[in-house]
Amino acid sequence: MSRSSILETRGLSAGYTDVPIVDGVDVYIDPGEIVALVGPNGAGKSTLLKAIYGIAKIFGGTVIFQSRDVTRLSPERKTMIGMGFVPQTENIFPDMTVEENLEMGAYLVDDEDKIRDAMEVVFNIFPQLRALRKILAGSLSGGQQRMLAVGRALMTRPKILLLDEPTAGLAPKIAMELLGILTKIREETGISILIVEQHARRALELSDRGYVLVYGKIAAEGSGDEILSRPDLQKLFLGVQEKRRR
Amino acid sequence: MSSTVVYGTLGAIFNGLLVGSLYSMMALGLSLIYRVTKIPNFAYAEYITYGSYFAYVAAVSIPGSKGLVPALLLGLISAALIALASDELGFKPLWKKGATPLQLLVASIGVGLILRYGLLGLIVLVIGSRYLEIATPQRSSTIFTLGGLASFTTAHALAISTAILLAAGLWFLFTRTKIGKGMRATASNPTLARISGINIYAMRRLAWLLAGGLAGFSGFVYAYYNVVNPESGWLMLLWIFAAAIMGGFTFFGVMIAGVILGLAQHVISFYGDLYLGVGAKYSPVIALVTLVLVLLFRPEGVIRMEALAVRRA
Repeated sequence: MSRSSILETRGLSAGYTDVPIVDGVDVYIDPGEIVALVGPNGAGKSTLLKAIYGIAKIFGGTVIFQSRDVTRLSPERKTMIGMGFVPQTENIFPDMTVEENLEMGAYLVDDEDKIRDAMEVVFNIFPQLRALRKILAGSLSGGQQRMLAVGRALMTRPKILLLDEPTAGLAPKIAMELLGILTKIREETGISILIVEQHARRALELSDRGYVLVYGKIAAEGSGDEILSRPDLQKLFLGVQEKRRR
Repeated sequence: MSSTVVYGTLGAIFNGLLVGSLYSMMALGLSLIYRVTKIPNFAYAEYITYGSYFAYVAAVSIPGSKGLVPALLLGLISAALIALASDELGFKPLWKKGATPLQLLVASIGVGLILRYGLLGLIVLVIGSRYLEIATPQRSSTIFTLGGLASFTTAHALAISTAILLAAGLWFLFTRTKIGKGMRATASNPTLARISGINIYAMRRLAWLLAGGLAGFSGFVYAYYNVVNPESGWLMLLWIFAAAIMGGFTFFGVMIAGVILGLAQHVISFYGDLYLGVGAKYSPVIALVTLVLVLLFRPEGVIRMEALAVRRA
């Protein structure tokens, strides 16, 4: 396993009640990498992200961020030390303006100049948001809300961003657009990204590497192309996806 | 129109504004707690009563007009601390165990009973029942009277001006300061607020202190112009909830609803008494009817803060 990795889990088991949903998972993300986490519904992909961020209950194993054991740190501490998380649902403050949402993302930043700079970076990535600054987040379109959700998480200039199904519920065209922006985010910020995505094929295409999670365990890992070229894996999750979409 | 009607109406409007500003303040506190913690807090009324009694203690300890400011401060601070304590000892532990808003509502009735009759018991046991009813020895005094019927007193001036100042201050807090926005974020989406690095427990404590402070301030004003007993706050609870619901638990909505209710209560009572001989004790009906009417025609409350926020520059 890579020693230079920015984020790493070792034997991570987690869930919500007493039953582990994620069971002994090892994943790592190197600096600047985009890593996709794919798999059938209910495999524990979201739970893995929540466990990494300290929202789900951790039963065992460790989470290591920049060579530091952060397993037991609270979500707010994790944000403080340079991690960022975009939850799948309820990922904006609907009754606050776009600008206020971004300000809240930078709650831990005291330097006004830094907040302005970070906001400028977000507006460069999502130019649409700039014109909507004074609009209430709850009145944005679905796609714009997702952009804002990602933008909020970028406000602390994190080293790694965890994205939990950022395209869930979006029209396919808008979903593809949003996924295309991931590489732009990396270019603008040099950030590493761990993404859980239902559009598995597209996510794997634009990722450096991918993991296939099945029943809470890693079933396969490798480059996006490697995973996509294995017919057995395709049946495992891509097939499920196709069927569900129809 | 006879001068009785004109000046009587004017007097009712003065009194409606006085009581209405208090309803606004109290409903604002109730809404603040509701928004941040999701608790429909029936114990809220008791913070007002405690505010009155603590203000009274300061007012009798420091005689003369010098005692007024300490009375206001002691009423405000003690109510704030009691509100915070009721959360730390009562609501927060239940919430951490996963209590639903409905369960917390029932718990709040219990907390209210403990506070209300705890106060009554304490007064009877320690000082004696002749202090059950209190009023600050410094009374509100008339500034001017119109037609012998419409009096504008120092209580009117104090309640209305402070309500405006507090509203402006709170508005500034919630829209212009980081900590105020953090409170709104906590109310809007607590999980995301945590992820954003906001200390939601600190925000929760602050919400209780502010809400209790608003109750305590109202309690002080109440004891300044009226007579208070351990059930005074409880008897106002219907009005407070009516204002909060009418206002849709939003900042400006609640402010406006409080004033509307205060005016409706006093003006309608005045006419009811004048023309129909219906006593003021029927005034709670007015609160309920106004509430029903507003909700029939504007189910989202009298105003949408969302609509205002969009227009904000």
